[in-house]
Amino acid sequence: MELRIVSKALKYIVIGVFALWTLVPLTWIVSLAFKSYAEWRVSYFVPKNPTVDNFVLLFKPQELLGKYGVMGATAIIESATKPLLNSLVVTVAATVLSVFVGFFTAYGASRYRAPGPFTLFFTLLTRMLPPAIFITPIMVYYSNLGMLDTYFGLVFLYSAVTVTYAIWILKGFIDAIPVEWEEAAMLEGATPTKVLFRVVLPLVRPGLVVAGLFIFLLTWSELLFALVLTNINAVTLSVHISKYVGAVGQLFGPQAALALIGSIIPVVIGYAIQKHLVTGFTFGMVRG
Amino acid sequence: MVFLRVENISKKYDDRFVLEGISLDVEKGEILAVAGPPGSGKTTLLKIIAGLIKPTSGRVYIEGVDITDVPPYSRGFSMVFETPPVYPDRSGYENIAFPLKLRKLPEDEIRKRVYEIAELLGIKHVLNRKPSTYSGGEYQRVALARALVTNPRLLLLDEPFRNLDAKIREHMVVWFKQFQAKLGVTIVYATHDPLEAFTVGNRVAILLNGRVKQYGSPIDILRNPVSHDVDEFISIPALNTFKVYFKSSGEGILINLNSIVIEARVKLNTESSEGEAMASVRPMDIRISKTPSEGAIPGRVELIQYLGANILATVRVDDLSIRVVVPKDMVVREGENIYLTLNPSKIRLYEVSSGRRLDVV
Amino acid sequence: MEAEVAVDSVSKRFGDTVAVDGISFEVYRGEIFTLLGPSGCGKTTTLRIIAGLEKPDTGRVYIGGRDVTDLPPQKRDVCLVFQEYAVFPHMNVFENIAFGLKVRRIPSNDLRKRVVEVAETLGLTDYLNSRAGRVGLSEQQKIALARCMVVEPRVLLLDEPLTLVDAKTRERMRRELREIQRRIGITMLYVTHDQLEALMLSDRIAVMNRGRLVQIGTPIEIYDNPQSLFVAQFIGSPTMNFIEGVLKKYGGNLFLERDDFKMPLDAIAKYYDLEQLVDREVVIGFRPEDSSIDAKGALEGSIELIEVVGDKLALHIKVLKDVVVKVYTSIYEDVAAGSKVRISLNPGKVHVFDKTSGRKPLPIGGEHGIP
Repeated sequence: MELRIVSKALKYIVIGVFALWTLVPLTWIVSLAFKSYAEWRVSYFVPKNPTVDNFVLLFKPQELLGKYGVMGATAIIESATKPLLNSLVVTVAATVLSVFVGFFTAYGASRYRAPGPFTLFFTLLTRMLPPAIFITPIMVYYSNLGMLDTYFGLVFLYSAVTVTYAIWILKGFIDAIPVEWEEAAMLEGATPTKVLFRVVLPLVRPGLVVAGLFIFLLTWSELLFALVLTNINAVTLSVHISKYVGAVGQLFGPQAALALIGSIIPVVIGYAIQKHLVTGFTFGMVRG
Repeated sequence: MVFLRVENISKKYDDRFVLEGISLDVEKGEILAVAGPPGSGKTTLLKIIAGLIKPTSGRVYIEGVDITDVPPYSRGFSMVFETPPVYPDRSGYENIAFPLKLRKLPEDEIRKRVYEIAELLGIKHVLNRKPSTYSGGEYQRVALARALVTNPRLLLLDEPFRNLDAKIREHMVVWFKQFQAKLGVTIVYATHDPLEAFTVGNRVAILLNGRVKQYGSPIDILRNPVSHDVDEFISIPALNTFKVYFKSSGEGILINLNSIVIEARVKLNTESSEGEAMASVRPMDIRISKTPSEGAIPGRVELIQYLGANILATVRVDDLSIRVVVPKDMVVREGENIYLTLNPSKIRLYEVSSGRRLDVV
Repeated sequence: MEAEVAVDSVSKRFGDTVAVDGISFEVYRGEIFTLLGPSGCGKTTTLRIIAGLEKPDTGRVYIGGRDVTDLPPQKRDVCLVFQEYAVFPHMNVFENIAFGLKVRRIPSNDLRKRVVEVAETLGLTDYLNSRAGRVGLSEQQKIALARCMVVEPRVLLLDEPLTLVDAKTRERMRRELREIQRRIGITMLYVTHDQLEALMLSDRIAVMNRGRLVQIGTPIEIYDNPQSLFVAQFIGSPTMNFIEGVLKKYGGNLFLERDDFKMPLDAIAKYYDLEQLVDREVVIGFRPEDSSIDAKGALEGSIELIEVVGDKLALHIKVLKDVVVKVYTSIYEDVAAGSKVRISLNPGKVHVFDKTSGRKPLPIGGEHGIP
């Protein structure tokens, strides 16, 4: 009996530690975002004089000098509007492209046999190589092709790297649909194309949402590729946050503020589409 | 005119024939039951008729027209599989309406037909509910409704009631037969259960190892199986088969089983007037008695199993295990010594090597 | 006889649904005891509670006399054979059977001996080196059985093990299972929805419906003396014939009255105390085999339809204006539809039920089989 109480307590303690581990940095960022320059380096959470200056500064960088003195003097920052927009465009486009290609590939992988024993395995390769390895050659290619600092360049690379997830997530969902349902649909009058779009696609909608959300999150916060491959035009949110560095140190406040905005957007999107995550699938037959 | 004709259909996978030389005729409004053990090729045959699989050779005709090369979405057939399409994220109405929506029928026409078929099948009450709330019987009827709402020329069913509780399956099979009689759709119904095939089919095709071994009315097949494997397949409880020695004599033949001689008034379908053969008797065609008599085979009761209306006894005779259906009021105990009498008019003889029927009714 | 398994007032609910509602029964050593009922009646949940895979909300479970309610499955000395057999497809048959022993760290000589012995009992000796994923379904079931048997549990629990098998193989396996159980004498607790299977396999049957135990008895008792309408129509294939009506008393004699027809029930009144049902709606039931075509029969009708049901002929005989009674004959009979017949009933085999409660009245000088 006592063992049960002890083990229950232990479970709560472990969970508590992990909860803290996750939440503390998050809470710190929230508090930083509302702290004025003087309070950035203090050790307590709640700012004594909360301010929205950091947020304002993001969009009105001219105020830098005024608010942050020497630090602000040497930071050359543009308004955060364009990077926000860029991130949205690039991430959404990459997600859509990735899921789109992933869906067709997953369908092929699920319903047909690929030639050669390792074809399917190759789709995993992009995730097995550390990005740092191929970023340099990619940069050279992009430079030669004029794709540096373009939407297209980023979207293309992001999709290529995340399509693996789309394939594997969607393949699982497509596998769960009995092939007989597609055969039945053919008898019901659907050509193979109609079967793909009128039968399979609607039934894996939750899979599309899961894959889409997952890829969105990955791409939204991506830093390395964006840093290397963008300069002025296609700068994304993550890169922009990293730019808040003055001559004598980082501008924590604005960084935290932008990070906060950047974190909220995916949460809002996820919340809005969560109802599509419910499948209601019980693929076993109901007996009785 | 014959409605569906399957002519010499064969299907080969690698170097193995899954179906070989299948030829069948189905009249309009008839139910053809295709019965065979798992792996005998029933599903392949149905899918070939449906157009989902291309035969290696042979043709399929509907009302005289060769449709072998017509794609499945243009044949106007419907099929209910073992896992029928009932999409879990949609209501019953939407599921049944799906094939009509595919055909781009107007909304009010769809509504009319869905309600009509739901009424016919007694499932109006599930139209607004999702499949996870259905009972097994309701689920299958929604699948049936979906298959029938397009007024198919031919309905193919692949073990449609397999996943239902035994009792419910019984009722559904009987109900289905009556329902089809009202509706008049031509049906090909595949099942692994020979008794279900006999209940459902106007005619039955026994499919064994990819070949149609016998094809006729249930009564004909039951009274007169043409080969040993057919006889064995259709017998539940399992058939008893013995090696015997037969010899023509006068008006019939003498069958020599374990030194007991049985006289049967049958004609032989073979040139030889004597030889070895396999003799088959169904458990219900053997009588048990506690006292010895002329021609009775002694044995010991090994196992008693209660069937409800009667009892299935497994009796040991030398090295053979013989199954006998015993009337309930006869009290038989395991370990008891009893005597078996075979009904001579219900013994069938088969050639040992080929299983071909040797005696003629 | 000792109770190897005892279940006492066990209940279990899942959310709003009551799966098991106050069930109590005992299983004796060496018997095959079957929980029988339609899907959703709670039989599998009960089995899982006995196995230790579910915790009951109320009640206790005893195995071998010990209260095991709070013990995890591995401490209960039981073994469960699942519907899907759960055979490891990539191991060979030997390794599959040996699995439980390996986990318990049984030394390899002992292990080998036990596995070979059990394999022989089940007829698996020729398959020991084959890949388990390649053998047929009935062999797979035997592997699942062997895996349990080799651990020598007190009780063997089986959860609808024959559902996935085709009709012919199922019939054969029912015989083999009973043979095997007779040979090794292990106590078996079996779950199925198939009433014929329960009748063929069991020493005793517990019929369940909607989480409750409806009747317990031997197959003969359940079949010959169903205590409720539910059991009467659930057990027996083909299904019992039922005729509804009102029980009336005229001039000291009892009749079943329906529309303008009166069927005398005095012969049956010898067996049941029907007085309590006078003027109530009743249902009489009789099995097709307990009725016969008899020129002096009480029921008159005509053969409306003849159809093949399995390997028999079903005669649908319309009696009493709108009641159809089914009588079965062999397919060798030549019967014509439309002919007029009379049916007589074996009075000792006619069952009477109160329509509202579904229950049978007390028999004269007999006992109920209700748990």
